[in-house]
Amino acid sequence: MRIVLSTQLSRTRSVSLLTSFLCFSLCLCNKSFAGNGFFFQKPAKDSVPQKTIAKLKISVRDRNDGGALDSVYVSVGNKKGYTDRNGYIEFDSVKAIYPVSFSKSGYYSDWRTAKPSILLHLSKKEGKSPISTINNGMYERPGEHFSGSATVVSGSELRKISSLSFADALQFYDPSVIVTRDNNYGDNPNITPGIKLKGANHFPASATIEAKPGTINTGVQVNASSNDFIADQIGNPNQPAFFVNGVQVALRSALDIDINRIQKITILKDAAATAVYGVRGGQGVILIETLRPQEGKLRVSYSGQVQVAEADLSSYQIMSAKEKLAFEMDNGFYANAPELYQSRLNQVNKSGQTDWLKLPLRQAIGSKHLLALDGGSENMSYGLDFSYNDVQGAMKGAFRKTTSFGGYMSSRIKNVEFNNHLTYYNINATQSPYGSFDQYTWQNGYWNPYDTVTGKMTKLLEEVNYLGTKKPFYNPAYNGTLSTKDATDYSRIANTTNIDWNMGHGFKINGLLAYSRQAEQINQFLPPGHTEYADYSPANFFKRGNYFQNNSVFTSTEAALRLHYNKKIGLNQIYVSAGGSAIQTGSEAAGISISGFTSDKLTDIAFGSGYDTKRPTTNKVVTRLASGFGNLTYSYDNRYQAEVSGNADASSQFGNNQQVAPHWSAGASWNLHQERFFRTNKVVDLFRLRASIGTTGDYSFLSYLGRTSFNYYTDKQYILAGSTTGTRGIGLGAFLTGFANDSLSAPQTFQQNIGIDAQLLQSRLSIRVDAYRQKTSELILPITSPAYTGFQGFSYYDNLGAIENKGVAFTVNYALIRNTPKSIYWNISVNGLHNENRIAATSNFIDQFNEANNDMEIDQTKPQDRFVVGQSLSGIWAVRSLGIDANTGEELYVKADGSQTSDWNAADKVLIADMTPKWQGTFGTSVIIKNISAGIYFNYQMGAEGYNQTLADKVENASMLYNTDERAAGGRWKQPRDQAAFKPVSLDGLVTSPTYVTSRFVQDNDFVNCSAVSMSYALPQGFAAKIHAQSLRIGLMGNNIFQWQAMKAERGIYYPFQRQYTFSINTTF
Amino acid sequence: MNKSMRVTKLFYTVTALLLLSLTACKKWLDLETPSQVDQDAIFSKEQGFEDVLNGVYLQMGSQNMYGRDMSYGLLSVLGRSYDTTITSAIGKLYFQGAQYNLQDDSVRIIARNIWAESYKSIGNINNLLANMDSHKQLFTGTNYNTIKGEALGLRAFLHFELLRLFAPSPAAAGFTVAAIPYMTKISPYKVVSATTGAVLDSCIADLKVSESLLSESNLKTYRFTIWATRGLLARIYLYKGDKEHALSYARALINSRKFPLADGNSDLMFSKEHLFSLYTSQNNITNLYPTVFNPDLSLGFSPGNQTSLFVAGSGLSSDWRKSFVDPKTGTAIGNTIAPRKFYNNSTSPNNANTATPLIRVTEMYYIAAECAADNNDIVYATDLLDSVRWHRNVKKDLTANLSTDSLNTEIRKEYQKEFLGEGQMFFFYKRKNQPFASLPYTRVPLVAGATYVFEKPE
Repeated sequence: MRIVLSTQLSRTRSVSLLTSFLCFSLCLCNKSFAGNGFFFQKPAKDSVPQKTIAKLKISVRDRNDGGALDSVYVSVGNKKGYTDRNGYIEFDSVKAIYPVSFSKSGYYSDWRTAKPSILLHLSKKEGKSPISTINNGMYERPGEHFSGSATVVSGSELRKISSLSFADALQFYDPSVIVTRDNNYGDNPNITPGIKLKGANHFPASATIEAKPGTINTGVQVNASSNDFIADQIGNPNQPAFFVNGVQVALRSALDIDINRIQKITILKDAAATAVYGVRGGQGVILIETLRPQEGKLRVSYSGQVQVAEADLSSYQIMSAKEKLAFEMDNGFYANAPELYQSRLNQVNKSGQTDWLKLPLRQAIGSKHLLALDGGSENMSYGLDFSYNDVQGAMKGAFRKTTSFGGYMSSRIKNVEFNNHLTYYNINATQSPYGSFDQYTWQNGYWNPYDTVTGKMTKLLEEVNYLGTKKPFYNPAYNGTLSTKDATDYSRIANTTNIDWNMGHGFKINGLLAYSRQAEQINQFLPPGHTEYADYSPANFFKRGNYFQNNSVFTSTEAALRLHYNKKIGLNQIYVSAGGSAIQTGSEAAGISISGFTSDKLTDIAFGSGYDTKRPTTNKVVTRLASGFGNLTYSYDNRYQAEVSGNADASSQFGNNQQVAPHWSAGASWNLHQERFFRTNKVVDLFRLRASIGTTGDYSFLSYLGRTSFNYYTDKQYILAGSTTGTRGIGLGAFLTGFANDSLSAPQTFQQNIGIDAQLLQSRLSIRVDAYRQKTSELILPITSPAYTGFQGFSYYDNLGAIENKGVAFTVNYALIRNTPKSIYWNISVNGLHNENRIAATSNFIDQFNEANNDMEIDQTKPQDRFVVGQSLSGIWAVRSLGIDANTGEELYVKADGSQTSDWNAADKVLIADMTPKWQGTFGTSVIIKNISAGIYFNYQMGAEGYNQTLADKVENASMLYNTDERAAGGRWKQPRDQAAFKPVSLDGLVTSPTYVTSRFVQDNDFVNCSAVSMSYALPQGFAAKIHAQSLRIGLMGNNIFQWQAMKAERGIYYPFQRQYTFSINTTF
Repeated sequence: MNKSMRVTKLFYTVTALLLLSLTACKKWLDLETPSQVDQDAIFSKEQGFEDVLNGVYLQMGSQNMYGRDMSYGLLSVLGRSYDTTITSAIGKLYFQGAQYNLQDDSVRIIARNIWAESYKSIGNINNLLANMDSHKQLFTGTNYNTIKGEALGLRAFLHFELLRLFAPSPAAAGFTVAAIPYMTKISPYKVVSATTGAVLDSCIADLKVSESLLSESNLKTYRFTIWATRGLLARIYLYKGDKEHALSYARALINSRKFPLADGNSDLMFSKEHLFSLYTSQNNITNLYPTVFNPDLSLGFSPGNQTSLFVAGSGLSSDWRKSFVDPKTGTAIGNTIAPRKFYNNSTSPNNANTATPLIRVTEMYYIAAECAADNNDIVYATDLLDSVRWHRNVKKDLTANLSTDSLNTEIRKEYQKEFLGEGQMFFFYKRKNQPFASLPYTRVPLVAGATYVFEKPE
């Protein structure tokens, strides 16, 4: 025993040194070991001659509930024995020099110096995060006693769906999690997906932040670090708050975690679950816990994977070179230039057509490696992990490389547990130098990107005489051959220290101290040879090329202290938790833009000729939040539960008169399965009814709205020109740049939730249904002030808007086959969410926003946001169309007043449809036969509508100069009495007869997507043992392999969507 | 029992700790804007209040205000300080301005900027005033009174300028039409416009307080002093038609002997006569002058009319004010149409000409003269005009016993000569509601909708 311990200690030491743990953590550990005399040979304190204790009486109790503990192994000297049912044991004539040691399986061992009477409390070992308890990050309650709406997903469940990102997998376990990928950005590995829970409680940032030129917005960081969760929340106000091991992070940082390191994710959805989070809880909370080291012998585990990504171009139906030539010919493009037709045709005949879509794409092969070590004893455990994740994108040169390191140390001294977790991340995110994918979809197939003689990439594809002027066409792929650069690099170091003190008698205290710092640099370089500068006149020759560099630092510090108490008195069980925390974030950024580069090869920022802008773009934002909470949960006989929570948040973001935002919740649940009349029931294993009500808050608004601020004129002072030195400084002039709203308070969301959890048929069937209604009010919106108020260059914000959501979410799992002896399982699952969203109040700023979105300066070929009280946030507003007039070929519209017209007018827009689906969710099935498991998982949306932008951009508004959708050739109006779907062909649709947003292109947007197909095989123990492995598992997975889309429109505009195949191997030695 | 006592004790301790931390954190949460200067920092020193007033003066010196458009720019075009042939070649703004087309976009942009910048300054002043009483302990000596009086005076000054631009004159529409909002506190919300009469009364009320706070010993007229207060009161009373008060304020200023009239022409701006002027030298004014006095624009006052205004009739060619230069060279040779006072004068190396006059003591002579003429006190009126004329090197008296009409013509001519290129003539014609047909030097036909009222922005 002794030997094992000391080797572990020395190993721990060397490991600690290696990993440069925080000094104090080491000291504390070492000191505690030495001081407490962990080793049994520690001599007695006093050198009094050996004393003998006549009768040694020992009682052992459980530290948590104070109950007597039987069968505790007690040894003293050569005497040993077990406690009885009362937790009692006694020994006769014991020498006082011997320590008394105690051990019981499931409990931490302990020891005491011998004295006549000993009362000892043993601490229960915490279970390895059993799903049956819900830890909402502040406190832990048994699942049966928790009245809130929460979902816990284990890491292994996540890995069934995705091998890279937990975001894609969450929806399969909770339909409330809505993950959206912007159609423009596709599966770009460097774009963060959008995540929200249930419905949107906020207007998008574009409608809530005054962004007129010249407006000073010091309250949000520009070019913020990706871990700046304050800026992230302002930009994505509907995003839930993410916590990793109890510390808040931005979504991007959460996604940086290797999915193999995730222990579990807890999704908190309603007021009862999130009210204690106060302003951070309004959009829901997602808690991520990473793996903790397991005690025991040193374990080494490795998991590796190789993934192949390729672009999914199935939605692209562009014309081939021949089709395009025929289309051009048919529509008279070559009427005056037959020789151009001939030369293009010759080109195609000679060297074939170019597949432009393939040009910037590749079959990308990425890999991921994770090596983890852990081990230790029950009093001291440690873990180390190294991970390298190279995600390569389907566009050439697009990648995201993550290198991370984690060191974990946990030690227990009696009933105090101390954990320290240090992580380091280094990320290099690079965008493709080939630029935006849509450029390639515009290129005509008859253009050849290569020089016919040298075979090298050419810059100029063709120059044609168009409407009397020479129009050059440049090769976008040429930029990919240059030193074009768009990269973001950052490193983040974070340390979290937890102290848990189990005080006994049901009391527990835990403390948290966390610090993180992320330093980030963006480097964007457009070389002077870039096609962007191709048309620069000789006079502007030295203005070509641009280098943008931005440096940012984000730090966050958090300290928290929580006290817990639980007590069982007869059938009554109560839990009390209270605590407080203080969080500070600091964000700084400075960006410079340099232009005037002479050569593509001189890529350093030093080679530029001068600044683009007079001053660097800089900003600094500091926020502070003090948060206090309390919760009281009561359960009677495990049948009836009631709980109340309260929170008081005070933030530097609030107005002076509103520095505390209170939040509360109340919940109740009824465990019907615990009722006597249900217990005998063979069908129902679990049946719970839950209900909760309460408020949560929000902080996704600009900092400093509660401050009055000034700036100084930096280029003039109020003195006479030529004044002498005596006037220095006295003429400085200051002016207002912000005026405090002293009564600004955080928006509040009033939430109601009811839910049913059921498990039936020996837990073969599980059903979970939640229905909710929530209203966010006091949303912070700018006020459009008349100029005479003096509010110019800055805006006044007030609590004005309100949005309501209601909906229902369900999850059903059914085990079709559950043959335990033969190890054959077959499960199916389906879930769905229905959400209705309604704007309840707006401000005059939103009215102006709507009006501005009707301006013809804005791109009216796309639906523009419009927020009207009583309507949903996601409405599609378009002018009602009666189709193409068979006689004239013009589109006929219905005006707002109901009359017909052929003139499109933005003022005639009405709500046509809603982009939010009636139902969205997932379904899937999995089979396990002995060592083989396989599954297929789909996500779907039903009853959604969308605007077919491809029909607008690539058919009717298309220019004959560029490639178009295949549909551009057919269905066009040619002559009177044609019943056509599309307007007549024109040389440049957008110029001659633009098609602005019309109900004609609003279409069904339902889809079913095969999100994942997976198969894995655990090698038999026998084989694993041969290679000295404890376990060995290999897996194959395909993501987004195929889908069915109701709307035939191009998907992945600037970056395509990807199909991904992963081969993985996991082993533990 | 023992245990429950311990629990209770613990509960109280924790609650007390929580409460304590909540109250203590109020200070911790009081965060200043890091990239701006927080109001707490600005108003922590007396100088901060001065800085805000400096900000107002600097704003007033911008090109849309007294740096150009409200002095030698648009307002002087409207006030007919320039008589040269005006064609579309001089640019849309001045061409439309010359036609009194105040609804034209180019004019409306300027009007919108004047409106916005003036009210921005008023907002800053109101915020300053709102913070003065809570920081009273910061001020030393008479500075509290000085700054407050200055701020109130500027507020009245800016409002009165806005009133004269954006509301019809009492002569045209009386006192009860809705004019402009008179802002006395900073707030983002809409208010209703006050009537012309109410705005005038508010201006007078502010100025009366200002007068009671300011000291007569301060002669730094590049800031708003008691002399500006009194000069402005005389001006406002005259605009209001209260000639009795106008006369008494004007006469008091003339008799104060603090602003003796010039005895030489070394400074053609006659800076020592300014009751209120603005340092515009830091506002890039040397680059702004050429945007008006530009050989290509040929905006200026032609030699022919120079003679008819300054020399013919009661004038003399020795008048110091009849001093013009060629905008191209800045010398008196060539196309001498630009007032010399705007050009660096080699004989005044201290750049005195960079203080733009906003109220001159000579205006007090004219106000007093106009009021005296109205009272049929022709002798006093003539005396006043002659005092100015002699100090402008017009060494001959006006004919005695001029009729009131002739006297008023002389007063108008004096205004024209004295305030050439200073924007005041527009207000003069507007106050008198001068029929457009009788405006001098109108070379282009005025538009049908000609008006003295600028279009009020929202």
